[in-house]
Parts: sequence; C-alpha cells; structure tokens
Amino acid sequence: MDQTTTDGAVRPRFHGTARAMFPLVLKGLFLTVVTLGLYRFWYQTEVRRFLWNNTEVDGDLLEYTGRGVELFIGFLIALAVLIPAYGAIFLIATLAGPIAGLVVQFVATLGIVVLAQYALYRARRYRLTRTIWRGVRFQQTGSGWTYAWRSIAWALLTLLTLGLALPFMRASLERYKLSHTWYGDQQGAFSATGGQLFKRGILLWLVAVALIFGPIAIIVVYGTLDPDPTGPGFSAAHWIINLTIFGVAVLVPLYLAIEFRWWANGCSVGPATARCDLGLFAFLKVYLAYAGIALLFFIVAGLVAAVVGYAFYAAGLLGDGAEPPLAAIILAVMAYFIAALIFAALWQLFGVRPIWRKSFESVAIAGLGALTAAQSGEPPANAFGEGVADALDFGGF
Amino acid sequence: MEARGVYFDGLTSRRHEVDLVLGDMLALVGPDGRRLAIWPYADIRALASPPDLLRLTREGGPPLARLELRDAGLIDAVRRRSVRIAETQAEERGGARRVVLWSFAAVLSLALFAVFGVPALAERVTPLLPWSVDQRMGAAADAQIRLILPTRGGSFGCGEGAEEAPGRAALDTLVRRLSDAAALPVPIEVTAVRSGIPNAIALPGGRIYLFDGLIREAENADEIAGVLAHEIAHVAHRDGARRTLQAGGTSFLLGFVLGDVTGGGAAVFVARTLIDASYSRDAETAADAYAVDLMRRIGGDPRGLGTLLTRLTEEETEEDAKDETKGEPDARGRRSALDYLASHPATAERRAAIDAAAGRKPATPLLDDAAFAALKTICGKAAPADDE
Repeated sequence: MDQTTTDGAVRPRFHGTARAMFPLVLKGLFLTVVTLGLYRFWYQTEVRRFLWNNTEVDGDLLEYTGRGVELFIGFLIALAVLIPAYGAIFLIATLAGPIAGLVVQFVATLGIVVLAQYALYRARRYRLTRTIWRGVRFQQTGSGWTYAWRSIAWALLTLLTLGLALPFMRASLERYKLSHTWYGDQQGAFSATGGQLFKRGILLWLVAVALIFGPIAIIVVYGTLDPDPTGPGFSAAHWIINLTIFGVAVLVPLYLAIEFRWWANGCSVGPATARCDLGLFAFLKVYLAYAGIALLFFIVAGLVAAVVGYAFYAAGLLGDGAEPPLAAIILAVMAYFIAALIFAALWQLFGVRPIWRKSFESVAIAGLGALTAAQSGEPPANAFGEGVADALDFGGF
Repeated sequence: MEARGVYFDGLTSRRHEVDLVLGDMLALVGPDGRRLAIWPYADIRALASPPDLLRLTREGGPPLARLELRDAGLIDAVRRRSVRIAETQAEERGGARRVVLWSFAAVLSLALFAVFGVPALAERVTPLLPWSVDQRMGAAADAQIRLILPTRGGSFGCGEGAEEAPGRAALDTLVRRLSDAAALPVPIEVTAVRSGIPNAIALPGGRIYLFDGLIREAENADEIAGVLAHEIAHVAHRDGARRTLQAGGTSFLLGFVLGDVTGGGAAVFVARTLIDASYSRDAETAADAYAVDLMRRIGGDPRGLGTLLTRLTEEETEEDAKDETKGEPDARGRRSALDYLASHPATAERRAAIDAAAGRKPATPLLDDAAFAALKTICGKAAPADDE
C-alpha cells in the first residue's frame, strides 16, 4: 500500500480520482444553486472529506470529522459580528465628513485585513482539529490576533521592499503556525529559513521585476513618442503588456512550487520530518491543464448560449419592439450564476485535487515509526474563523 | 469467526492489527491474544470513508476510537449484526436534507414575495409617502442619468445659448400651459436633452426629460405636448416612485440573500430600472387617458400623441428591415436599450384607445409655426450625429 523509500521514509499517497470526485461536485454544485448558496457549507465539507479520506499516510487514511452545520453556525456568528461592524463603519464614515471619512475608511480597511488574517488562523485551527490520523486529532494553539498583527507588519515590510522581504515573512509566519501545531501531544516545528527561500526565489524576483518595470520603462521612453494608436510603437507597447501579464501568470505557479518545496522541507512533527522533491513545473502543469479545460468549457458554453439566444430571437422573444421578458432576465442571471459555479467545480476537479495530490505525493516522511502521539486534551475549535473567512470572501480548502 | 482489521483506541496513535471475534459482542483481539476492546453491536456506527473501506466507531466510547475494515466478507458480517450502524450517517444526511429543503422553501417564498408581495406593498405604500420622497428619488436618478447618458459633447440640457434660447421659450410656453392645467403638488420641470435617442422620461417628483431625438420626429407642437402630458401623468400617478419602491424592495431582498451587505449594487440597480424598464401596461393606459384629458383641457389635439407613436413605430420597422438587409444587428442592439418604443409596447392598440377618448372636438394648435420651428431647433440646427 504505502511506498517506502530506501531510508525508511514514507511517501503519502492520494487515491481520489476526478471520476470519483465528479458526482460529489456536481451534486454540491446543483444544491448550492438551488439554495442560493446556503448549501455551500455542506458542499465544502464533502469536498474536504473526499480530499482527506483519500489521503493515505503510512498505510492509514486521514479522516475529516468536520460537519457542514458547524461551518454554517460559524458563518452565522461571523454575520452577527460583521453586520453591526459594517453598520458602525458606515455610520461613522457618513457622520465624520469627507476627510475624516477617508481616514475612517482607511482604518476600516486595515481592520478588515487584520480580521481576515485572524480568521485565516482560526480557520486553520478548525481544520486541524477536524483532521484525524490513526485516531488522534491535530491541534493548533497560539493566538489569532498575534498571528494577524505579525502578518500585517510583515506584509507592510514586504510591500516597502518590493517583495524582497517576502521569504522572511513566509518563514516567520510558518514558524509561528508550525510551532503551534500539534499532532496529539507531539509538537510541530519549522526549520526552514527565509534565507533559503530568498536564495531559491531571487531569480524569479529578478525576472518579475524585469517583466513589470521593463515595459514601463519602454513605454515611458518610446510610447510617448508614438501616441498614434495605429503606429508601430503603440502596438508594440500593447504586445509587451500582454507578454508581462502572461509572464507573471507563469511565474506565480513556479514560485508556489518553489515555496511549497521549501516549506515542506522545513516541516516536522515530533520525531517525524518531511523531505520534498516537488518539481519546479508541477503546479504550472496543473494550472495549464485547468486553463485548457476551462477554455474548452468556455467555448462550449459560448456556443450553447449563442444557439439558445438565436432560438429566442428566431421565436421573436428577443429583439426590439418587445420588452425583454422578466423570465429572460432571470434566465440570463441564472445562466451566469451556473457558469460561474461550473468554473468553480472545474477548479475543484482539475485545480484543487491535483494540487493536493502533487503536494502530498512529493513529500517523503521519515521517522514515522518513532511517532506515537497521545490524544490532546484540548477541545476541538469552533468554526468562527471559517465563517469570517467565508463572509470576507477569503477561501481555503 | 475471525478476521483482521486495524484498530485505533482514540487515546494514542498506536496502530493495532486486530482479529475480530464476532460473538455476542464484537471483540477486538490483539496479536498477543489480549482483548483490546469489546463493542456491543448496538453501539457500532459507520463513518464517512472511501468505498473500499469501512470505518467504524463506538457510540459512547472515546470519540476518535476507530476500527477500519477492508475485507468485504468481514464488512458484510459486521454490517449484518450491527443494526444501528447507519444511524450517525443517516442523521447527518437527514440534517443536510432538511437544510436543502428549507432553504429551497425559503428561496421560493422569497421569490414569490418579490414577484407578488413587493408590488402589492409598493402599490399601498406609495400614496402614503410625502411628495418630497418622489423629489429626492428623482434627484438621485437625475445624477445617475447625467452620468451615463452621452450628449454629443454639448451640455446635457438644450436651450442655453443664444441660438437655442427661442426654442427654450417655446418649450416653456408649452410646459406652463400643461403644468397649470395639471396643477400637481410638485413643480413640473422639463429638460430638452441633447441626445438623438427618440425618448422621453419622467422621473419621480416632476423632472421630465424630452430627448432631442423625439423632438425632431414631431411634426407639430401638439405631438410634443401629448408626449409631455403622458409623462406628466406618470409624475401625477407617482409611477416612478412606485417602481423605485418595487425595484428597491426586490433588490434589497435579493441582496439580503446573496450577501450584498453594502447595498451599493442595489442602488445602481434601482437607477438602471428607472431608465430602462417599462411601466406596467395598466400604468401606460392610465397615463394615456390622463394625457388625453389634460390635452383637451388646454385645448390641444389629444390625438397628436398617437400620431407620433405610430410614426416612431413605422420608422423603427423600416430601420429593422434596412438593418436586416445590410446585416447590421449592431444598430439594433445599440438603439434598443433606451428606445421609447422598447418601453412603450402595443402602439396600434394605444392609438386606437387615444383616438376613441379624444373624440372629434376641434383643436387649435398650441404653438404657432414660428414657435414650433424654434422648438424643433432647441438642441441646435445640425442633425445629431447618432440620429439615423
């Protein structure tokens, strides 16, 4: 069942196929539409259950014990907290006058960003306390607010240094997360350093800087000399901008692969340590495959919409003279809603699932034989963080 | 009967390969022959797991104690004996089913309320509102319209320069006679809009936009007066306020469900509805009747409205034919959104009703030829670029 490497390290395996995941995603999608989104908490639970239940570590599968109703309650708590907060911000901004209003807006935005970080930390705690392996629960200690302030301070520094501080931010935050992560009574630790990630990522950073600032320089120097939209300078600038967008789209998955490999290599729980050999292009391949499938769907959906639209037109239901019937507007809104959800479903099947698989299967865990944990006495966490993250539109798995 | 399974006691992560002894109760026996656990069959519950695995726990035991079986025969044997094995999962499925059912019911009742309840409520509430509410709604919509409507580079309203001032004077004469006769609690304020679209819009609270495109289609002052009388009727009947209440109520309901907390989307939606969508057919019929009555009171020809409507419809049809032969669906798509006719259906029917109500009473033209000529050029002499 399990793959054991020469030095006794164990490679996790993932058994979930797209074919097995498809019915679950389709059902979840349909019910989410029918219930105007309320079913999403149960849908998300089903997806997680599928991912966890199909992940095998040293012969034993992970288990996800979270429930849809817990996420739903977390969402309700988040609403109860956020709605008065939004109301208060709105009221203060209206009463404060234009300049003070701007200040209030800024403070409120900062507050929301901090809250989002807090929520992400709390959400991680919910997921960990619902993750079971060999009958023992994971756990997360530490303070969400400490984490949130730490991540905001680092984010500002990263912004000021044009991203050069990013590796050190990642190292600091992951050290905080991992050292507060527990498998039963066994504490996690994080040994990778920002310097390591910096060395591996600096080349990408240079390429990104060249990609972003190069065209700006070119446009500043040549673009202003040729403002004619039909002139060669203009169209060249146009192409350079396209190239930049494409280049950045390629760089992101490359960076994510580098970062994951660096991250996994630094993780340990008790005596068990991880080693990772994720390829540089592993995530890029997933994104490209997803983009291809999404494009295919886009073309098919476009054709269907064109046929339906023409059928309506031929039947005299659309076109001028006749007012667009309310039913047609509702139909169009529904179609938009459904198309958006299908893209989300395709992302689950061909984005999330393969990334999950590649992440786990690229890791080899050594020292599992010596890892024996006793159940933690800490109670499982509630889903408040998940709820806030959902309400603020920050997603995870 | 003995067979193998994997047991975790839920206290430590130690993995126990166990033999299962299926006696009065399920006994889990370790390799050394020690009984690790004894589970009464009635307490055994199945948990979610991949299809080739049965994951069991014991109700009332350590919550994370697990017994995992892969052997099909063994799974069968345990299932047969454990009569309440499916209860935990069934309970959860039942919970999810209730959620789906009731949220579907809630969506349905919300939709029914939006379609039937909100209009009925708007109908009852509108007459109770003070007119200042209409005026405030109108001011808000006015700002939106001025923002989105292209006016060929010139100012939004016509009749400001020396060339256009005589047109403005003619329009004012017309409007004064109409609004004096109508005697509404709010002032009527008509703006000739520098736009080639053949349309006229009444905002709640007395603001009326008469588009240059419509003025150019008119052949006498009574036609324009008829359109204005029709729009004044919408103001008098408070159709705009009613529709704003409806659209606002509906989008508030939808926004509430879909999570539009700030309501920004709702505000834009209301403004768009005011411009685009039509009033109900009943509201249009009532407005036509009011227009006929108003025109008769000021001594104009009430049939002008019907004549102008017919002319617009005929031109529209001709253009359609032209577009089709030229293969330019674009022209239609561009024009239809703000078109007067798109929002005022069934012209022939309406004209017949107007003519019937107008009767045969003789009428004197409301403006003399010179004043009408001035009105025709209220937005300048040159034909607008986007007027076909």
